[in-house]
Amino acid sequence: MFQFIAKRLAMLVATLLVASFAIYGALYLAPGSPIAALTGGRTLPPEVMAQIEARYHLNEPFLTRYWLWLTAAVHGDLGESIPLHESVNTLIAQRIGTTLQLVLFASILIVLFGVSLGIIGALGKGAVDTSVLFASTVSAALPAFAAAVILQFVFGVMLGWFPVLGTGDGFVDTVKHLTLPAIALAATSTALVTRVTRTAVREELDREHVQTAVSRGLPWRDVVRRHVLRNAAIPITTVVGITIASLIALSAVVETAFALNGLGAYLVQAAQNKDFAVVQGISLVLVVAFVVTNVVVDIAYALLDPRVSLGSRAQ
Amino acid sequence: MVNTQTRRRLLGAIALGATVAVTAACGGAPAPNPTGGSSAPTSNFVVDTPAPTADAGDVVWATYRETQTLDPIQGFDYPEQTADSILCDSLLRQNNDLSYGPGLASYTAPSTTEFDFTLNTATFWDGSPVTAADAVFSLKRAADPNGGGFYSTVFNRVKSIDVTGDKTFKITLNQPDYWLLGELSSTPGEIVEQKYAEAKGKDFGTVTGGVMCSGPFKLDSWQTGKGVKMVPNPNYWDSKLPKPKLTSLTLIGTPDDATLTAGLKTGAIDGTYAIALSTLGQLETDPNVKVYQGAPFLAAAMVISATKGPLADPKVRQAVSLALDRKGIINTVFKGAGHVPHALQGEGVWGSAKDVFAAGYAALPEMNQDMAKAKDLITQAGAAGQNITIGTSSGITSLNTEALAFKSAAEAIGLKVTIQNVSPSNFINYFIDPKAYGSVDAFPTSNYGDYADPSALGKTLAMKGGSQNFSGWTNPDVTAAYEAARSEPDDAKRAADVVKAQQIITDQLVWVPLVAPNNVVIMNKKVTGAPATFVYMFGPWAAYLGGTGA
Repeated sequence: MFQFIAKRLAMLVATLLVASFAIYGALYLAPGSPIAALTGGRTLPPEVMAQIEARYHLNEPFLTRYWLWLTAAVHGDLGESIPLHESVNTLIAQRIGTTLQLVLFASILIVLFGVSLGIIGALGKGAVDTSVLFASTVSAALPAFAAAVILQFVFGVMLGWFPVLGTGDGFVDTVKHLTLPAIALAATSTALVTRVTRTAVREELDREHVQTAVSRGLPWRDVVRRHVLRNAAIPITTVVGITIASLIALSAVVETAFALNGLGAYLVQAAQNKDFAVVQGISLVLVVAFVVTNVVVDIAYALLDPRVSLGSRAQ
Repeated sequence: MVNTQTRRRLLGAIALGATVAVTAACGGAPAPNPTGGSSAPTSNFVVDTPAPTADAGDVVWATYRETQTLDPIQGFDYPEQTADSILCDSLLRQNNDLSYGPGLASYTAPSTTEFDFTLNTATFWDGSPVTAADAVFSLKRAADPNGGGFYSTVFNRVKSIDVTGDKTFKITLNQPDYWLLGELSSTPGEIVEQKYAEAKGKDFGTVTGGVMCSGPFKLDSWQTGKGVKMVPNPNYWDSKLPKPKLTSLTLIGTPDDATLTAGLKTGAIDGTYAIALSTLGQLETDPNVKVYQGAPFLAAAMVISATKGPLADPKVRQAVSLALDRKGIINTVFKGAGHVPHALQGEGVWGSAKDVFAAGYAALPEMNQDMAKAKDLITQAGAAGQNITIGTSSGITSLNTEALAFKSAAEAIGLKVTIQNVSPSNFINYFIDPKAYGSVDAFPTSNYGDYADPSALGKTLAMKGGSQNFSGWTNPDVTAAYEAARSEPDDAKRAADVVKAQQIITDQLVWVPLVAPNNVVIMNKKVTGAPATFVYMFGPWAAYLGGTGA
């Protein structure tokens, strides 16, 4: 266990280093100037421009700038946002809560609806299965930005059941505010999980040990629970793990549409503004989230299937 | 027809003898009636929206992106100026009709190069009195080219700023400068507390540091992504300004048109000042939303950066201008909320001497499409078949549509057009990088000056060394007229000088005006009172805000 964690930590550090360099490089090469974000496209006198460039080392060579950033980051200082003149640590801290809440909410929806619909589809016959297939096809075809606009219009503007933007205060209000965004974010992934669950369960149903259990006269409930679902759990866990890890990045679209102050929307905005320190900071958070989710999935494998030892991937 | 004659007469006088013949051909027409036509200056633009009758509670106001700084000297774009204008008093105040007069201070001019300011008895939000030392500190901070601010050049005729008493100070000029008063009624004239600014150092104006001013609203809290929350200042010094009928006002950034629209319809957003909003038509017909249109302040125009080639020739610019489908731009980009212009900026920039400006504007022809004349001019210039390059960014929809309209116009009269398409974040380079603006002949802009006078924008593009003079265009008559205006204490005479310059700038099409976009304010039916003018950038606009009781 200790070895597993140590190994994973080492991998995390290596990943962070490579990712930070790659992202910094990509942003450096991308066109545009961070100064645009300061002025809304109006002209500044050259002296003022020179000052801003000096303050943020914008005219230094690439490696110098990366090194300046890296040495500060190692000391826990992720730098300063250019347009906001604010520490990136603070900016991330102010937004990470919203994104975590949104991703958690969407994850619950994905697991709850994805897995249960998948099981219902696999076990059900005829119309039930067809309905699940149809629903998951529609849902899979609905990109988050379209889902956001539709949900906003129908449940926000027309019916007035849910607020159309913002995060709300307190638990109930927050849940109310995040319901539509979470559904928009979860739609496509839920369909994916439904499909994978359905296939996995179908596959297990046809397996010999299940047929044997059925022919031995075990109750159907027990067969499904102990022989089918437990075995089908591994591929389902994999797809759920990957889906949830990617939700943070996907949340950008939904956060923008519902005016939520999350990390995803801020990452997109910062990348457009070439706000180096912010892009780096959020990207590192994303990398950490990805690695941590994978660790959790690995641990889940070991718990679900005693034959799997920690650190070796089950297929 | 008749209007075009006026235009050509001017052209003939200024540019080439060749056009005189054309003028003569159309000569003999009676005095034009320049106020005719749909786009003529009218007085049905809204200034004040209905006054509030009830407390509006917590009000949410949207800007196109979130506020990035509250430091006035760096307030250079809509979100920052919308916030600073109600947090921080300027020395002089811009009223809702964009005239300006005494504000935090009043002034006398003992000579043409001296302004003596006397501050009103006002306090900052922390209770400390606003002193001359604070005012001088703030102005020197804004004027310091190394101070990190964006407005240092507006102080370039200032020799010294000195405290002369507890509440009095003197600005001494190298040369007379009556434009400075306009600037002091705007963002560069906003006064902050010295001891607070010094204590916060480089954190001043940021989320961490905040600001300390004396305005009708005070900063309550500010969290990035959640907005700037302001509450009415209960101890505001000026009882003549209405007390805001609301509990709090939060400025949030809403970049997405669909989100903004849904927010306004449901009341999640109470109001916004909108520019080229794609859903304007939908909102105008919504019973839960009120849309008011104020006088045009912005200039939607094509910047001409060409120093050679066809667009460097005024006749070619005039030809393209005549071929432009401006009504099409008004409908597609501004959803009808705009006018065919007579000059770079419309009625909204006449803050003083309105009659003089109105007459000067009306004397210029409305820029209607006239393909026959356009083709005539291009033949005269011998420019058909020549190539021009237009810079644009397809990622900025409204500007790109304008650039494409300019392209169609140029192609319709036989020019060949190359489009240089850059990313939205790279678009700024056309305004700051000589290589970028040197590589194109024209690019679209939505532009404005710091106060209501055509020269506030005009001086940046038509004076030698002007910050937006990308083609190096100069004209001795324009320079003389602007210099005269800058040194002229009388409003009407100053306006007459500016009008003189405006005529030449318009006739020569230093920039090609596209549309005079109306100043649009949109409010949910629950709130009312926000003025429908550009004062939201410079003056205490939100003091007029409140509820309707609906």
